[in-house]
Amino acid sequence: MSRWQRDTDEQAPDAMAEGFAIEEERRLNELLKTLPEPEPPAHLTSHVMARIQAYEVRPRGIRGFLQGLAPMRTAAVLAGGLATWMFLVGAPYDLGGTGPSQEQRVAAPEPSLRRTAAQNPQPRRPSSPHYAVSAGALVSPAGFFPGPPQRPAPILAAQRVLPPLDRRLDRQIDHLLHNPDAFFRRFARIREGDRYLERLANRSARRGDAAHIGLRVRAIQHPLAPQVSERFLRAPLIPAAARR
Amino acid sequence: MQAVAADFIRPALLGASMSTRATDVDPDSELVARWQKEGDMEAFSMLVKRHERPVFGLMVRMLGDREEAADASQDAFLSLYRHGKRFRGEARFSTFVYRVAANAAKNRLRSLRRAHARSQALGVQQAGGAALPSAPRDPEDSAAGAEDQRAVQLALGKLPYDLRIAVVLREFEGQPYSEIAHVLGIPEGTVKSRIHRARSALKVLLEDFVRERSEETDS
Repeated sequence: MSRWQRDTDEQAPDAMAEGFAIEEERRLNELLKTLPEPEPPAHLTSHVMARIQAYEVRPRGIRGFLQGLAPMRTAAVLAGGLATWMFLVGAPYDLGGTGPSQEQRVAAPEPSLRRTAAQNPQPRRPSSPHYAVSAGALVSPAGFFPGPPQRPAPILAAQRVLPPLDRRLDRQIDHLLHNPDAFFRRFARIREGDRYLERLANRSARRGDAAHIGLRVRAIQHPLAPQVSERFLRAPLIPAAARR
Repeated sequence: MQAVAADFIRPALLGASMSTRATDVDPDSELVARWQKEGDMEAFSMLVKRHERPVFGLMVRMLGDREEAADASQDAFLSLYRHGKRFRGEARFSTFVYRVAANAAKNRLRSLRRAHARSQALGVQQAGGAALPSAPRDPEDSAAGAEDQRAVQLALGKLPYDLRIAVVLREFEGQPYSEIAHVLGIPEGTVKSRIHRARSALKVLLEDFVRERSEETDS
């Protein structure tokens, strides 16, 4: 056997393996090319520009900062009111603290005790201070925080039946109707805006007032209003089309 | 997302391709200048129109769902608007757009994963649950060859983000290695190795389909 033939025989399996590998690569390329090039939705640019407009009209500086704090401000006012009330009336019940700030220290022992001490001069033992509970602390917590009513009102009972997600969506739809500017400001900051909107519109369609809300939103002067309105107006049509 | 543009501007370990690219004429440079210097929104709108197809394509490949892709594309363009002023023309504008889009896709994948985990934990089928990359629901599914397409999309969805973005930019968007290196902020050698690893993984994931195809060719 010549040297050339021996080399060829040795290299043949490698060459075949390489051939297979190249063939495999070619097939993979063909398979990857089966995915069609996706066509972007027609409204993509207009939606992007609407979101940018909403982003631009967003208040900035101190006004924007204060508006951003608006939900926190309500909570702060409530907390402040509660703190003032507690300061004036006293704590609703003893929180288990040990310091004089929560309890009044007895300034002096009673006169009878003082006399006895004068008649029997004994070495004074250091005694722990006496505390008296404040009048406010004696009041039962139930007086301040009455428990839930025995039977809830019918509306509340109906709300409780709804799943939590639906209740949240209902609140957000109410927010859209009562304060559209604040809603749009919030909406412009949401990352998954379209999906969020879809959920709202679907919820509204299930309630049966999507068309009504869509028309009301259409009347609002805001760059995002047409997009939101369109979603609400379209929502009842999609299940109908699906049924057909 | 704020780090997107800052990272992009950072001079990376990307070698000589930068200088060659700088000498090329960027077709977007005029529109970018009008938008950046004069605040011309018409110019920005034209830039969006010009780049919506590649960005949307990238999103569909990365997320496997048209609705999600449309949403993520909007996020990407909004982010481009917010941070685009930092673009100083060191590379092509399209590269910058791809970089912003890649980061938007990454964020979206992360939020989808979180939503999916939440819905699984609650045992609730959420609206977006069926829109995860592992379950494409495209009208194109009904067309011929839909099974192949579905298999490829599923296989892509199984790749980790780093490999997926590299292979999508190369195989579907047709970007050269040097551009991908710029987009991802990694050296060209790393891009090549990631693409190689991604293709190897795809070959394994699509083994049956590759074999079927070869049998069809042989017969």
